[in-house]
Amino acid sequence: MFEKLKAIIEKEIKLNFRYKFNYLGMSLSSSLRLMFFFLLIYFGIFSLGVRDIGGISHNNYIPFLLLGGLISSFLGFGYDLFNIKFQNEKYWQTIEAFLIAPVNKFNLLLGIGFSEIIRLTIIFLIIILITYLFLPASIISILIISIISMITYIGILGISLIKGFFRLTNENYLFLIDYFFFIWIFFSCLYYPITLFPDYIQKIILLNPIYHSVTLIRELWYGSITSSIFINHFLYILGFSIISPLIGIYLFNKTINIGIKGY
Amino acid sequence: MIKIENLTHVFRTKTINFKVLDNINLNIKKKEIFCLLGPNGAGKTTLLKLASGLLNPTEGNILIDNKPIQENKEKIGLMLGNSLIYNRLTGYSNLKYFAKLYGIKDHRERIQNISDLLKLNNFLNNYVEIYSFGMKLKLALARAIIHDPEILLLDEPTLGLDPIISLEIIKIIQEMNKTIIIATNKFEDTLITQNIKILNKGKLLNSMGKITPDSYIRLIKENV
Repeated sequence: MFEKLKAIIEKEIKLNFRYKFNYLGMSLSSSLRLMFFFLLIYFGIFSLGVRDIGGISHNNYIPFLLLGGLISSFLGFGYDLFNIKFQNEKYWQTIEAFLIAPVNKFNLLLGIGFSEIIRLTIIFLIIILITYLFLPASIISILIISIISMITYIGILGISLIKGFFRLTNENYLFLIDYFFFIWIFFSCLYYPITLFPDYIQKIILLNPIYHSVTLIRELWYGSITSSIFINHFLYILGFSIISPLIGIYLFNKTINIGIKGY
Repeated sequence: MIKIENLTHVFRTKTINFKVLDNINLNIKKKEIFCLLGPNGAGKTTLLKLASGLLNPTEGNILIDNKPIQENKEKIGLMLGNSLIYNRLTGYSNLKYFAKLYGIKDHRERIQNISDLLKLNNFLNNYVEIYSFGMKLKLALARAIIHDPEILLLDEPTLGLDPIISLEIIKIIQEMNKTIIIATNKFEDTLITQNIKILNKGKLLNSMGKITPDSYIRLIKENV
């Protein structure tokens, strides 16, 4: 089992590092774009004398944005991962070799997912270090945050595999997944507080595991968490990281029945 | 060993249902080399894809040792021309990856043996993107046999090769001592076996006696 997983990770890392400067150089740019945009807005708002926006203040808005940026980066990388990989594999005409190999598809999910670990680690370390400089947190909190980030990432991989499935079988519907992603991000409160939304939308946001992930990470960092709140958030994230990969793999296993289209 | 029963496959599009294979029946014995000869678009590749489990048939069955293909994945090696290999990896990385996917314990020894057999040694550490067409085909064949499968499905194994390399590859295939299905449109590829069937427009044609280049062309023309 682990040999096959290791083989997939190794192969993907080799493919990623074929053009390593571009690969590594792209790590931060996409995640930093949105963060800087919001940084400018919050800076402007607090410069005008506003004291508090849903718990975000002049004192904590930078760590708030950075921790949002952390999950946003994991989301950004994970979400499109299988779409990009499968697009390449279609173009290279190599995906069929994997489909006929006797490999459990969880190996595919985790193998391709973990092959991004180098980039994710770089992003994680940079963001955590900068956040620490603005607002120090305990080492234990940072360790738990790293675990929560990884669990969230596994859930995101499941969604990514669903998009990858459409890349293989019917590219016509890819845009629908992107609309879903836009709404998903919008209701994740990565860069703004939930209290900006009306009550009925807040109820919808509370169903979003990414919201729970980013909120849990922030509360852990601020040291303002209780065990019951932790468990509540954590169960959402854990459920997401189990259910979403299962759906992704279920659909991926249907690929042979449906057939690869546009090959 | 391979039993194909009433196999029909239809490609469905919005405008047309295209029957690629029509009621194919075949029985291929263990260690037999079977050649499927036919023009472009005859359905040869589709038949190999079905036999490898890459496609599910619209009707009919394919059994390997009386079991469905999905239970016999390890027994099958598939070569689809020079595809199924990563141009952006080295030849060695390609073979190592697939060896591990198929659970080969000592991949180094296996890769060494295969590269000796196919004379790939001098190129294995180079990226595949600089390989010649013939080298890519050899690597694709090496990939297909990396897990020492009992059954080898070869689609156009000598397509685009000069006669010398074609002959070299065909001889290697002949000496493999495996159950082999070769799908080809080149008559020369069929010379390693007496067991040849002609596939045209999704149907197996009845050929009386030994198939020669002339009889092959005549049969195809008669069935246009």
